[in-house]
Amino acid sequence: MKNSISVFSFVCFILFLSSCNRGNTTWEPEFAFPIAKGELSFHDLENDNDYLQLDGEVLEVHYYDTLAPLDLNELINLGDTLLEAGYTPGIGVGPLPFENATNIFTLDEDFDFNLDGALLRYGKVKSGSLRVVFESDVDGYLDLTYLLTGIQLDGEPLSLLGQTEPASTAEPFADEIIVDISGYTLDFTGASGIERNTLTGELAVATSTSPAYTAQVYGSNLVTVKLELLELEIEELRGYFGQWEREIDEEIVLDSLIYQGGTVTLGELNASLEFINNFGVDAQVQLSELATLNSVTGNQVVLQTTDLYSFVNISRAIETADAVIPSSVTFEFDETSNLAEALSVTPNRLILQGDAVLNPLGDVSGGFDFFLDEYPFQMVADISFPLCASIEDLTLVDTLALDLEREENIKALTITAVLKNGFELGFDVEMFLPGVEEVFWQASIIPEVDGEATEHTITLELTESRLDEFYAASELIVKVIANTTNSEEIKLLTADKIEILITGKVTYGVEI
Amino acid sequence: MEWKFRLLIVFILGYGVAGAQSVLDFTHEPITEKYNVLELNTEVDYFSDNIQNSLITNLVLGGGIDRNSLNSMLENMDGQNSFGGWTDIGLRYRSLSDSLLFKKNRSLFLEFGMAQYGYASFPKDLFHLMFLGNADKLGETLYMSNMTSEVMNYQYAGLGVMNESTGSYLSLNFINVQNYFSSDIEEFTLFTAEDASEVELSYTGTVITNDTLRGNFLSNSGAGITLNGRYNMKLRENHDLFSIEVRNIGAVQLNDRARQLKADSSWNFSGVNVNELFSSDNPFTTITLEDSVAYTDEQKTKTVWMPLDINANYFHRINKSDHIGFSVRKRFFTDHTADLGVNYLHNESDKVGYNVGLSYGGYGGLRMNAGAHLNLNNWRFYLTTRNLIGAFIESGKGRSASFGIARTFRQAP
Repeated sequence: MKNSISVFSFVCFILFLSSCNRGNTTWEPEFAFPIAKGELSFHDLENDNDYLQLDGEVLEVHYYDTLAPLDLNELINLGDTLLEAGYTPGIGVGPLPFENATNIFTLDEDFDFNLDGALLRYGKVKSGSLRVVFESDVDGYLDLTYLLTGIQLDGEPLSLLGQTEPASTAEPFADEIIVDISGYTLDFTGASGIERNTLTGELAVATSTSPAYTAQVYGSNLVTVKLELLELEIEELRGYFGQWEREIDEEIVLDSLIYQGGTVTLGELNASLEFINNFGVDAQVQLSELATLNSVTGNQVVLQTTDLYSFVNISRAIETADAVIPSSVTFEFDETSNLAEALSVTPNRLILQGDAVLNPLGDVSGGFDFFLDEYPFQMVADISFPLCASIEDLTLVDTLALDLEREENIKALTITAVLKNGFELGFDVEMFLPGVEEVFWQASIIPEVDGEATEHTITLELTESRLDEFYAASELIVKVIANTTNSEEIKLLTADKIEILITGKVTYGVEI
Repeated sequence: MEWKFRLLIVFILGYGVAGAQSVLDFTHEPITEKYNVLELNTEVDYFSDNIQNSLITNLVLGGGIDRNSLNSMLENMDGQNSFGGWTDIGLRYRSLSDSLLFKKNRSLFLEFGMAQYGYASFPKDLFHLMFLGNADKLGETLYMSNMTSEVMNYQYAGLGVMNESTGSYLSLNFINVQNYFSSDIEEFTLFTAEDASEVELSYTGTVITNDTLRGNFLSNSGAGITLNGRYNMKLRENHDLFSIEVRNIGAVQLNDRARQLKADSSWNFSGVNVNELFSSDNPFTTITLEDSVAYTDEQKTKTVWMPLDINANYFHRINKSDHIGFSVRKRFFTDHTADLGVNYLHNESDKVGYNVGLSYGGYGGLRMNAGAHLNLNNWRFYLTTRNLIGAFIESGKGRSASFGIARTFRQAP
């Protein structure tokens, strides 16, 4: 009985003790620390943006880009052509036995490219491959030596060796070879040397040295060679390229930022559009529409200037011993044009539509058209203007991807940003989390006043629940609305900058 | 939480009492019967010059520590502060044997137990940084130099011989080190700029720790040997007794996986460039404080002396029931001064006795001792505290408790 009472007392005592257990020990120190500091100016964009010129006092935009190069590879597509030649032994009915290592026949054959009016003499391959398929229905092991005298590297013709195994008419044997022909020249003049679009090949068929096998060859046996140029890019092409037309229909993305609205009224503008023809081919171009487009707002302005939509004849380029001298036609967008209006929609797309014709008058060069890959046909936009503008509610939106791991011990975080705005621009900044209508954070930053930067202290307080929201989000949407004071025209100076100091204060939950 | 719970049990079992095991020994009369004894002894004792019990209670029992009480504690701190403590729970079996070493009244005993000791001498600013952070110290420097600390968690197994007539003993203990940590920080300052735009850390010091952050029970981070002993000398025809006990004469060797981190450097951080903030190679995703702070990390064996514990007592028998005792106890912890004490003991009967007393020194100031013991047939109990006031006051600066229970097994005549 005494023992029972003792055990019962001990159990009660332990239960009493366990009731004192209050969980883990916690406290919450607060730590202050720097996060980032520095300046934001147009110089920071210099490396990533070829359009900004920071030499002078006033920031200048110089947009120079090749809008729509005409690629002859797309026009004369040698790669689409599948060439095929069949070879027969010419020995009567047969069958004739052929022991190992015995020549059966050797034959020449030309391959003709069907190039829709083009008559090519010479080409040089920048990159690409040649796919060759040997097919045989001969009942024997054959060595097929194929010498392509029209395809050469450093003067040596391309030689290919195929091997087939015993087959029948019902079940021919196929052997495929793919060879890199980058740097090879293409002689399209055939065996006679005066042909066009013609490659010559010589096929030698012999029985193999092994295994020991007596081939049975019939007069009706057929050895076929199929040629195909794969992923061909031409470095040089000569001949007559034919007369052809091409429709131009391009939508060019100008920037990844999403403009959501607002207007920018620019001051002085200089712009031109220039067609530069480096081809040894006469060309004729007519634009039907050149327009700026804001794809978010849908605002679109069709550009207008003198003769922009007229037929333009551009004569062929002239080739000298060491250079190509292009021909060009230029459209100037002067004060009579509507370029300022076109840019005021803050475009993020450029729409380009029209037609281009090569050799509109036929083979006037007598088969001496030329194309050199390093001298393309270009349509170049050249726009430059000092950034003097009045800006009203220019709205920019960007989405930042977040991939943050929640640190559970962070109970609260206060981020303080001290900004000194030296721009004549004011900014309203808003941040949103996807799917949440409420603004996550916002701040207003007024422009500089009388040349003095305005200082702003902006605080973002993140409680534990807001931190949870933030860390759970996969992206952060940042919206910036820029305005000039009273919509007055201002100059954006290369020296303009925003000084930024960002610090943090974290309430850290220590738990042991 | 399991370790906290164990500590809690040790603490509560001995709650309210003090250094009385040696006192009981004084009441030990010459043996007239042969018997064996199985004892369980527990002890927990910590004290500080400035750390309040409320903080320790929170650290041991759990729960939140609010900033107000931390601020209040900080206000009462000196520039340099100290803290020390130990726990011990051990099981001892004594077997009286006439034949042992050819002498009568000698008992051989075996003991097993686990113990932990720790002490720290630390600047006020370190407490501030640890518990309050640096956010309220903008534009200031936190000076945390001259910090030393040592913590060891170990198990022991020993073999000893006791003279049952006098209570003197000598024992040899084998030590298994479970966890070890020590620090000797000569320089440690943290400056935070007024606008928090910069933090600068300067540090010089050495930290030694076992290879794992926290070894499990009986895991081995090192081993060693210690000698413990007590000599009781009866004086004036058994009216007085002088007793001196020395424990932890020895050392342990941490194994070759022990880490020695040494540093003599400074680190300045003023944030990243704003342009890098949202870049894909944002430095916040790659930098860590550990990578940024320069130090050497070497793994090799290390010999560590065990902290000596010397306890001297002088008892005077006033009459059959009353005694008075004077004590000096010194533990070789940093900043620990000798603890001087006086105790009055009264035996109400053969079965019940109690003691009260005062002590001064150690890490704290004046402390009140109290204790009681009870003998019931084959059972004996004692409960003592070296810090009676601290037992009840959260603003006290230490707590102490010992609890013992012994069962005697009489041998057949």
